[in-house]
Amino acid sequence: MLASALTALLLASTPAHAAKPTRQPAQGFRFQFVTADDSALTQRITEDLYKRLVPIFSTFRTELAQRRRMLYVAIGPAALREVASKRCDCVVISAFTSSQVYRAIMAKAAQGGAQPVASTAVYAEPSPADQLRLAALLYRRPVRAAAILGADTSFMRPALEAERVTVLDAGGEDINRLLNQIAQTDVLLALPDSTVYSTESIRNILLSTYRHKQGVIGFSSDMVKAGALATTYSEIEDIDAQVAEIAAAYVSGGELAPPQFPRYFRTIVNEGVARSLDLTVSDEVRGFSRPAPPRRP
Amino acid sequence: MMRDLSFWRGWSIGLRMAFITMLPVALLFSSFVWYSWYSHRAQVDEELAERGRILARALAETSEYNVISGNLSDLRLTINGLVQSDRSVYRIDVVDTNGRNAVSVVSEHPIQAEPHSFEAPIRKQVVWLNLFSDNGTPHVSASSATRPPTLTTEVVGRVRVTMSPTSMMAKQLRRFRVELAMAALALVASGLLAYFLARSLTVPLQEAIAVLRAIRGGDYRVELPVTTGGEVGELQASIGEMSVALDRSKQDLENKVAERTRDLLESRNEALRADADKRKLIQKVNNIIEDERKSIAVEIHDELNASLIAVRLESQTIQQLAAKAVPGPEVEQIGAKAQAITKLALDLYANGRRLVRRLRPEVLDMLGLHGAVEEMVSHYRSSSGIDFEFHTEGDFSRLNNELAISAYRIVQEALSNIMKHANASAAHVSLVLLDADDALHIEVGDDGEGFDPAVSSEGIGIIGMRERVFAVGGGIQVRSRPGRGTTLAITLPLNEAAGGATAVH
Repeated sequence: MLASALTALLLASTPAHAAKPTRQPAQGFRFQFVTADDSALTQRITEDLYKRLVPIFSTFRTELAQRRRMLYVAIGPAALREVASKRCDCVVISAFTSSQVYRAIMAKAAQGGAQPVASTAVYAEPSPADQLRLAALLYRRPVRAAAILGADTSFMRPALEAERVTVLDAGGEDINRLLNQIAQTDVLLALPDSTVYSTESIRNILLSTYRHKQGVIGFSSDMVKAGALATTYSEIEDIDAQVAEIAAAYVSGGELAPPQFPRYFRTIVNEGVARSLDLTVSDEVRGFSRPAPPRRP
Repeated sequence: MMRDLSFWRGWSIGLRMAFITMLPVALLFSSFVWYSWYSHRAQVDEELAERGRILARALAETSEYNVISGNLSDLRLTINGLVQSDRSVYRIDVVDTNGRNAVSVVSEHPIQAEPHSFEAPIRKQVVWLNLFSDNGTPHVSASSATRPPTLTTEVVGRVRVTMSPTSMMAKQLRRFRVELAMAALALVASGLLAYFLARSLTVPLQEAIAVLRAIRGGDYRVELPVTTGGEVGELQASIGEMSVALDRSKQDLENKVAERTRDLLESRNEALRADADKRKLIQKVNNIIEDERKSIAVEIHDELNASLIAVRLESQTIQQLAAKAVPGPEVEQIGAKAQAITKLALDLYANGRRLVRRLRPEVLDMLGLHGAVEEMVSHYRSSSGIDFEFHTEGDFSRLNNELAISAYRIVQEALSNIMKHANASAAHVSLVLLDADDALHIEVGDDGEGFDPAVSSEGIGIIGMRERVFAVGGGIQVRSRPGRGTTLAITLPLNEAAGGATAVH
């Protein structure tokens, strides 16, 4: 199923594509990228990530290759699905996959009994906390935010409600009716969920919220360009840096960090939408970010 | 067919001018009006179609959200505002995919609908975004450089716009009327121009025709002022010059005719005078001839015949003497000679008598004209065998000797002609003296061969008769046809002066 797996084996001449379980205890680590395509985007991700991971794994000797634990970096949902079905003494870091898809795939893998030793993820979508902070910065006051969650994103309900976000359960209900229910809020916090946000419904959602004079805090730059008010977003390098940090921590301490939202981000604002919502976009908003530390050469 | 096409040949110049000037303008006018109307109609159709299409498409775009979201009251409000504010929109229907009329708004204005409507599908527009679904592509929240191919869109309903041409047509009709008025104004202006142009041609021509008619009527002293330029002006000038030339020519001709007439009158008077002199001369000659004849006749009668009687008496005496003498051959011869002389003398005497009669119709003196002519007629009757009739009427004693001789000689010549040329079986001679016109009417006719007076030249006899008649101031008429005999009618006035020729001045 893997169309083109860019395999990067460090200090090992043996291909580690099919990592078999070994009885010998692991004494080191090696890594491998799992990809589902060889698009320019994927190549860009792997090239950057390779440069970041090579220094981390360079301490392990080549002769220990047979006993090193495999760390898979799954790039994208298709690659994650592939690697999740492996029964191995391996660790998986999911990158460039949304929390909803990650959780769904992993849940499905757990049901099938085939599951890696450990897995974690850097979710693709921005952190809701950052998004809410951005909304507050935009409105310069505490905002009444709402979110519509599907079955796969309902895990976020407690966290959101803790932030006083009005949370609606999609539950197969008509999106227009749901949008009418939250018409009184200032902001719709969009979280990736294919049962709520699809290519067919996104325009309708953007129009409805616009007519309700609501801003949509989207989850990608493209969404902002399509009509959402603003979002925080992470560049490929930002995600890669975070993946490298998780890998380094795991390699050095043996403890795998839990799944997390992107740590490094920048902000994009649709100035036209902001104007139409009578919002004045300050430089503080435009500069709202958490930059990743520069990569060591 | 050709005759039908030549119907304009009978037209006046004015009508032709008007036709030439107005025909292109009228054609232009009608084509312009037709095109203008057609263009306005087409403009209305095109504009309605364009607006209908645009409106349908725009409404389809804007209705998408309302149809999908079910917020139709908002859409109805919008469409109603549009329909009631735009009089060119008759009706707008928004129909969903099930064919149910979601929104239907009809204009409240009194306008008519177009038979066809414009439809546009309401498509659910799909914004392509990486919505972090489980589709295989890495989820990147940063901007993606690439875009996937266009996705198929779903049709969620249709917008049907029915336009109304009423308002637009009214607007175009107003414009058309203005254009029509302007075109009509141009047409009228052209008509006036044509009228004045035609008049500028016809008026000088009519004046020229009137002048030419006057010239044809003989009035050359006409005036035709040159009122215009160009060919018509040249025509006017030419007619003026022609009238002057004709007048001068007529004057010259009249002068020449008067001169010639004068010459002719003089010539005629001279001829008449010469004629009169000639007749006087002829009369004189005739008189002299008659006198000479008379003297010769007297001479013959008195001298010759007396001598011949003496000769006869002498020869008779010789004859008697011979009879008494001794018979002998010589005596017998003498007696015979004397007898011969007697006979010769008698013959000579008889000849002399005849000569005297011819030279001097003594019967005229004795019997008068009536008797003399009767005697002549009976003489010809007996000698020719022609059946002569003789008729007289009137008192002939009033005739003078000269006229009687002329009449006698004329009848004599006429009868001589009958004897010589007519080959007639019957003839008549009529002498009538009427008191009414105081003239002697002579008529001599025959049933002979006759002749054609137009073809035949007059013989010496008739010329002599004519001169004799003219000499006494009479008239002569010869009527003849070939095979139908000849009749000679002569009138001799008793008073010569009354019938004499007069000089003409």
